[in-house]
Amino acid sequence: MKIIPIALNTFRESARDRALYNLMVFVILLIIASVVMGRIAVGQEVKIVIDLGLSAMTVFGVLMSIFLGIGLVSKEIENGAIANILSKPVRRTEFILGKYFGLCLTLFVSSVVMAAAITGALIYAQGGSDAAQWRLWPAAWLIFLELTIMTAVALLFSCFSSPALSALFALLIFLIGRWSPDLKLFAETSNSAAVRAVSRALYHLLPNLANFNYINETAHGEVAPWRMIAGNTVYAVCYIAAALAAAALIFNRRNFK
Amino acid sequence: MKRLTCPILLIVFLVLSAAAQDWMDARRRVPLAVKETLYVSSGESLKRASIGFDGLMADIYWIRTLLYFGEQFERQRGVNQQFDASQLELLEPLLNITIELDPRYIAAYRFGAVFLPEINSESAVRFVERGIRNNPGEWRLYQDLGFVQWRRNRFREAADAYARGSRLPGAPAWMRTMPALMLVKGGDRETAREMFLRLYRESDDPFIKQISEAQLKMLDQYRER
Repeated sequence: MKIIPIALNTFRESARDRALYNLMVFVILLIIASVVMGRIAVGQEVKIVIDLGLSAMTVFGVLMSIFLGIGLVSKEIENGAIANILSKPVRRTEFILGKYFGLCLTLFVSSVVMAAAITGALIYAQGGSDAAQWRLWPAAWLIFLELTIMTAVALLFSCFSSPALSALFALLIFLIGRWSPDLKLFAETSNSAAVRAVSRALYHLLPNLANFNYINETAHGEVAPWRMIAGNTVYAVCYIAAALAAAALIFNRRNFK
Repeated sequence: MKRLTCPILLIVFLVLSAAAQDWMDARRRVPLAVKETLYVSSGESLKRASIGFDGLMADIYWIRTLLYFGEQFERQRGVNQQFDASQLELLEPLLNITIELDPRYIAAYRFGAVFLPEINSESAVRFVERGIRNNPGEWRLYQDLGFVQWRRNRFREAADAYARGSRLPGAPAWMRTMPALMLVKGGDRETAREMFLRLYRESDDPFIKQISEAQLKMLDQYRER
């Protein structure tokens, strides 16, 4: 199994990426700014720190997962390293999986850093430790799952498309995924049977990212129920497995000569 | 010399830009009085456009509401030395957008309960009732509804709001005295007396007993007159 060495190498590579650090610094600055914004909003400090912190974590996390996810394969193809790697006893599927898990490890570390920064901002805003600071972690886990799905989608697109188009497709998938309840509503309310069938198929084919959004509830003091977390984790694992299988299928058929 | 070129250029241009800024500040024209506008008036549309970040969008609109209020407050105080909330045309739409984006934004409902009655008392009642529908377990909103109804001299409705709120978990003891106080205000002294008497007998809270006793004495004095 060559997956682990490839994953660790990808983690080291992406950890050296300046774009990652720039995005992380920007998120942490936003989290600090949320404390100031909370002060303006009279008595809403905790809500605003959680809303802004977790939203920034999602937006910048999605940008990281898309742009780093696309670069996983396309960079290797562009600089010709792919031929060198595949000449060694490494299966193409192992290469794809190793790259994917390496980036997931990077995203996991950056998610933990960002969630810790939000917790720190809350401790500062509340002037001490409080239960509110810990209930954001289940929501942060859901965000991390959303990022892993987006990474798998970006990786899938980068296996057959140019980096620019892959980024565009992945961003569109993110938007549609966030609007998936509307897609379901459309499927249920349309008069045309064909439209209903297509909408229902798209609803199941595209990732349902709205389920991973528990920011507003967390800001209102709720903790994501474990059933919801478990259900979303299972859904994410299944969807990622399907996306990686599709990516491996395409990548196995590609000719790099 | 080449080494010094960049630092020298940096300092020279920084000084020049500072001078240009001062020159422009000295010639700054009085800004035109632009009427405040709401570019998007539908909270529902904003909710869809926010791709799930509706809580954050609600925070932005809440801060915008507070900034609008503060700006108008300062402007009016500068001109008239007194504040007239009825001139805040955008207050109601801004608050409506905030609660459409996040129906659990208690701070927005409470703010509306204080200032919307000065603009339109009926829409203030509707606004707080909407808050109660969205947050039926929040006793503070019943308190606010009672307050809005009291300002409209609708004492029976105010008493009803306080009575409903006082039954909710977490409602403070004084809320239980409010319905009777509202009825006293509204002139329904016999019902109020009955309510205070019941409170005095049934309550273990010394504060409620004290209030009820004082009110009963006062009502008895009215009766003797």
